[in-house]
Amino acid sequence: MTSTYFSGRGTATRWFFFFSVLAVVILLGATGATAQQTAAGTSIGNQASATYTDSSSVSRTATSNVVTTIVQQVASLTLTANGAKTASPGAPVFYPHTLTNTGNGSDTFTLSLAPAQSGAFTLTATHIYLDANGDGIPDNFTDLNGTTVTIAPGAVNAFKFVITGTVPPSATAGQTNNFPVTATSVFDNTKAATDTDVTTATSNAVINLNKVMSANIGASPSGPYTVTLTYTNSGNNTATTMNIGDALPAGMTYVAGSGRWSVTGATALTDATGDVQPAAGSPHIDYSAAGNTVTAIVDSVAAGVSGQITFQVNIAAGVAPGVLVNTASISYNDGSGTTVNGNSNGYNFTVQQSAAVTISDTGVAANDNDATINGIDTINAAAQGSIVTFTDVVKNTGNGTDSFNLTIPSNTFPAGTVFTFYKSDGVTPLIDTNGDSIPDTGPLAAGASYTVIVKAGLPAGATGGPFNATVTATSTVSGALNAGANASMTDRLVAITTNTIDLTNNAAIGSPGVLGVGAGPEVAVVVNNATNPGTTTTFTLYANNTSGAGVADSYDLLASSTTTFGSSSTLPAGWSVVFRASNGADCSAANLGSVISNTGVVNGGTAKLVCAVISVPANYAAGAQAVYFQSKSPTSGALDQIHDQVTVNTVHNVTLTPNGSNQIFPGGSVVYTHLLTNNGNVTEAITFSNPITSDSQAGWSSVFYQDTNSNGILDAADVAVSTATTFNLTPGQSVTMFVKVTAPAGAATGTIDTTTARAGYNATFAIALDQTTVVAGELRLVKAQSLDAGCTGVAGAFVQTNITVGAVPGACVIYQITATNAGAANITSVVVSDATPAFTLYRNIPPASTTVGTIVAPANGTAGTISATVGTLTPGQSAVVIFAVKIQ
Amino acid sequence: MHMTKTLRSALVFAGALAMYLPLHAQQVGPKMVLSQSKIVVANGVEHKQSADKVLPGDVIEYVVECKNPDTNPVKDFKPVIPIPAGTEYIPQSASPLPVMASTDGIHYAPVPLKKSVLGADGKMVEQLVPYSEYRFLRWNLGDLAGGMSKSVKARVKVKA
Repeated sequence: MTSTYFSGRGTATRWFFFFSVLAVVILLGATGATAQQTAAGTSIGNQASATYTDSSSVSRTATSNVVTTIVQQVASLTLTANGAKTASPGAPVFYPHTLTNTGNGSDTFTLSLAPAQSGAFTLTATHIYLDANGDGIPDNFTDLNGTTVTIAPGAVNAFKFVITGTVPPSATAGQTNNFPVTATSVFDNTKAATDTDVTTATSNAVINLNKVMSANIGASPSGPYTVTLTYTNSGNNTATTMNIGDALPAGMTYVAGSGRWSVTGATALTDATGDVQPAAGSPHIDYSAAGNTVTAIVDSVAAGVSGQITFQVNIAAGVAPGVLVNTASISYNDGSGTTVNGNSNGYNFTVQQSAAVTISDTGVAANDNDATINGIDTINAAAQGSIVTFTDVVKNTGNGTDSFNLTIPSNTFPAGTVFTFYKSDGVTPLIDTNGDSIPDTGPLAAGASYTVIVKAGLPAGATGGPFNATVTATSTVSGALNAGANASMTDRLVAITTNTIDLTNNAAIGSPGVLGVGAGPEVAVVVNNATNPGTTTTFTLYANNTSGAGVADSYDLLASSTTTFGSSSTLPAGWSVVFRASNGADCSAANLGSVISNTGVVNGGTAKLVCAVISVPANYAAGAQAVYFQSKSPTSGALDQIHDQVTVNTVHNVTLTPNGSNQIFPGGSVVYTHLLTNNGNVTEAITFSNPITSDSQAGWSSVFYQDTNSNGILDAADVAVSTATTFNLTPGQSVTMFVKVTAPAGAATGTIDTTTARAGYNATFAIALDQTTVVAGELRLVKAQSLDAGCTGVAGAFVQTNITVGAVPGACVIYQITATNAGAANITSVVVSDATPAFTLYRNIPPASTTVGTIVAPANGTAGTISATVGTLTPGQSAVVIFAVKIQ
Repeated sequence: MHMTKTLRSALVFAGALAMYLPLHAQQVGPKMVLSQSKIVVANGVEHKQSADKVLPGDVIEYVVECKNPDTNPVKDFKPVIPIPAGTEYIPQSASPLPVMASTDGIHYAPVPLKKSVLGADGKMVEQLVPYSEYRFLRWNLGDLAGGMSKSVKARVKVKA
């Protein structure tokens, strides 16, 4: 490539020229962009964003709030240009000026002919007049001196006016006058600008050159427009060799052969130099055009004569919006041999902004799957509930900087799809930069492109395709030709691929031992867990995301006893299910982790182990219970079910409780109460077979009764069971049974009989063992007394004989009662009671006491019962009770 | 210039790969709070004022407070502050350092940015990209532990 550039001089030159042109265009663009002050009222919005990787190693984005600031107004102005003219005494002079608001907002300016004139003479009849078309001639004669004008910012909105005054007849040739004009900002009156026009009095020729065009505004490209250059000799002498030059500004092109002169009428002037027209006589003209520079040389212009030179121009293509200022130059001999140089008024031609935009796909397969630039950004497939990213390129094909609003006026995507515009980075949301609340590209220079990322967030569960969304870019520049120009393209998603999930037992798909592969629910049970009532059983589940690599999803977990699933698990009454994560590679008790209801993110092609712990209530009827598990994505709606089963084991368990033990006297009987309870989970038929009861000791008898009237007491209504007796006991049900044991009259003390009572169920028996002991208890009581004449509480010798001396009123008596177990067996529940005799009251010195057990006595000085609760007395053991009374 | 632009476009398209993520599955991400203030220097001392209103030439400081409210850490945390239209990045105002910058929001390179342009001699020469063309600043803060906060800031000047 490099060698090509320098293979020959011509080539190198062309390249150099090419780069020069490019450089100029770029510089103009850059200057235009930076020279433009940020407009007052502009809202500068900003929103930060971030990318990060979460704990699941998934790349994500976060965005901040939006902040905005409003740009305030500043005042600035320029006033151009200082003028210089010659004029005859008594003649008026006109100086054109242009006031440009270079601030950033609309402003009002005061125009004044100030400060005061200076110089050798003073102009009279001074005024400021409007010159809207910029032809250097007043549009009317309303004096604007001291008044205000309101001007929007920018050269396009420049205000043009002329100031005029009359040279006094007394002025003499060579004298000068300085004529100032000032514009002052009203918004900020410290901002002002002054031009000063210098008038020189002359007695010779004075030619004023005026320039106008047939229009002052137009598009790029447009034309032709006629340029009229009017020259007038208002002096007092003939001007010779009047040379008018007009170098057209860049962007304006000369139309060949378009030159005309008022003297030669409709005859076309040649563009060549050196050929005068008419060929003979005077005045004549040598009109020529070289490129975009026009030159006209008129040999003679007599005093009071005026004439016009016209030609045509076109506005070139690709000219940036703005103002093309065109000033012609003039030089002439004023008749005295002096060459006078001057300029015409500067005529402003406004090149209007023309809005135009294109929006297209990229044709790059990575983000435009049809790999063709065809106005359709095609994405072949996207997962359910995913975000589809479209890459659309907006190009400003207008001739000026423009911002383009982005909208999606119509789309056929599934209801609930959310479209969001992002900047080129695909992360930062596209925000509104021009205050119309619609996201836009921000300012785009003419010819510049901007890549907009459109993200479509698909709703969960939607499938199908193709789906189209119309994306429209609309120009927002105001006042442009073609304002609101727009272009549209289509973002197309060909199909939403259905997310898939396969729920398996025991292992992930592809691993040894996997069960239940494929869409469920299976007709046949995949895994059957047998368990007893009142226990838990765990199913090992794997949620296999079979959607394909890169398609992550997550799944809600439910269990049901049927293939119908609601929003929560539905199992038989009393059952419950808890899904738990595994802290290891299986669902062993040690590995059971946190309780979950959703698998969390499962990446495509991977599986998540979930442990389903089913609780079976106690007593639950034996049998098989289908349990369906479901994993369903709340995002994509993808679901699978698996058909598992819990077999509740049959439990036969009837008990006859409790075993009893009691004492009995020879010949006596005792009743034992038992509960016959079905602790199993099936109804049991209760039967009785001989021997219904049996006793370990010969001669003893026992009878098994049913509490027929269910009153808990063995009474006459209760019927003894027989081999003919049978009834059903449902799971959990209890009935009361009695065993009545009778000892023979001659049973020896200490004999122990064990009674076995049995109720038959499920080919076995519920058995109660009651142990009965024969006792022969004998409690002996001995009461003795001792006189305590002084009531000191100290007893003398206790005697069983009567006290005959000293038992007078006021004396005390202390009693001693000795209870002794004279038998061979324990005597239980012994209570020794006595009462204060008549005519005595209880005396608490000494306090009533017992050597075994506890004692209760009346209050001191009252009559009542003294009661000692001794409890059990073993053979040979005694209890001694002592209390005192006072004789009244 | 023309070649550079074409190359950039190609890279743009190659970089914009679609990612399919379930919408609901996002864990609580970092909380980012952006604030702005106008920097005014009075008697040689900087003051921060409300930036609700600014004038051309004013300096705005943007501060992003980033907090990870989750208990899990986030990795490769890369906050981005765009340089809004109508403003220009003020050189050396980004904090902390180092910082990367981008003119297109896609391709980031350490500050100062450089570009290759065709010189007058026909050879590619490296030039500094004007700061006025910076449109995005990006930091790589690495890991943001659960409950931890970090902040980044930068200043811009309203175009005058």
